[in-house]
Amino acid sequence: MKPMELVEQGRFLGEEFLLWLWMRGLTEGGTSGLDGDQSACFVDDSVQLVTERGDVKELSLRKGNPAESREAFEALSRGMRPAKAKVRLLSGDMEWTFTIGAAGLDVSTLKLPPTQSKDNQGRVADRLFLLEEGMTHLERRFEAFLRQRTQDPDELQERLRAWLRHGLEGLEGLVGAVADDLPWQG
Amino acid sequence: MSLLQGTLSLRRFLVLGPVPTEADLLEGLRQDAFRPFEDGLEEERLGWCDWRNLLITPPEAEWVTQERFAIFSLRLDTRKVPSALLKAQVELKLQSLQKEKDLAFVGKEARTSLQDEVKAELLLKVLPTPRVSEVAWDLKGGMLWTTASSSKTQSALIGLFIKSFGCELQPLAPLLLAGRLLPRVSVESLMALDPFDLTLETA
Repeated sequence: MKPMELVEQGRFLGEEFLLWLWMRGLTEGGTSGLDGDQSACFVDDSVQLVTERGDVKELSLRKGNPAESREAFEALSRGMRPAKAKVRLLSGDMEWTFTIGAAGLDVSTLKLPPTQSKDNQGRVADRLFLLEEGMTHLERRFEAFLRQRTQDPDELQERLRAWLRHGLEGLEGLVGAVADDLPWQG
Repeated sequence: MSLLQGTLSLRRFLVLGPVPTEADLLEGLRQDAFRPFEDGLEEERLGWCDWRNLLITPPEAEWVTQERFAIFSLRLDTRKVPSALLKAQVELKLQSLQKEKDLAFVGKEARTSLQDEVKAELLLKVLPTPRVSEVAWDLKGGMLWTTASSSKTQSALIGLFIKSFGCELQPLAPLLLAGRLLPRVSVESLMALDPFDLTLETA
């Protein structure tokens, strides 16, 4: 199979992964659910939704709090899917922000945590380390998502649908499930 | 935007093929190092350069290897003569040729040849526009990061990479990454999954 066909064939997995991150950001404090993982990941202030059906094919929600907005939940419940989302990832005192594309899991406008090194060699080594660190957090989540997606797809689909229903009904119930004492807050 | 500072836009590729020795890696970089335009009608040139400075070609060995990474850049230069300028110059040349040789008409072949001649002359005066994309190749992990964001630059990178190092680059999209993270689950079974239907009846 040609590389671009492989990208197209897996697009839906990327879209569902973004939805999964979005849902966990709102309902599980952004945790991955993996033992010992202290990191958190949230969909931030920019989401692009797409669909092939209907009059509106693309919807960009930016600024404010699109991840919790009624507009977003209405669009998702009509079958729109995230094509891109700005994501905030936290681990200890480090923070990564970037936009992730669903089709190729490509990362743009990535802001890495600050580095201390002054010389070129040190800076590049530090930034590569931070890049890998951030992507490892993301990959761990993708792996956790894939396990749920392949082991019990019906259960995951139902959880996502229930989350969308809650989102449409109002956000009180949606964010109420977040634990008071989240690991990454410590 | 670079590996050295600022925000980054990155694409990740899986590197398929045997990892070259350090000597082979440097030889590949040297052999396909960026070379500036010379005479002729060429409008595009590409090759490897040093990640610190696009004028350093081939990349300097001591800066290429950074722990388990090989870091270098792809430089893609383009130069183009503005079509309005080319047309105007050709028109003047044609007029003077007709006058000089007392010709009523200049044939298509002669016209094309004149146009190429004028274009080659003008191309020498045009400054190329360089586009540099950084590459960080994790030699142990078989992964490659690049700041090449357009599909054109990515295709150029894939083509030159296989020529220089004999390794194929595959974009690390969801299916490929899934196959890597869950080796027990076949890509075929992942491809057989149906996308979720999240449309709600009430919507």
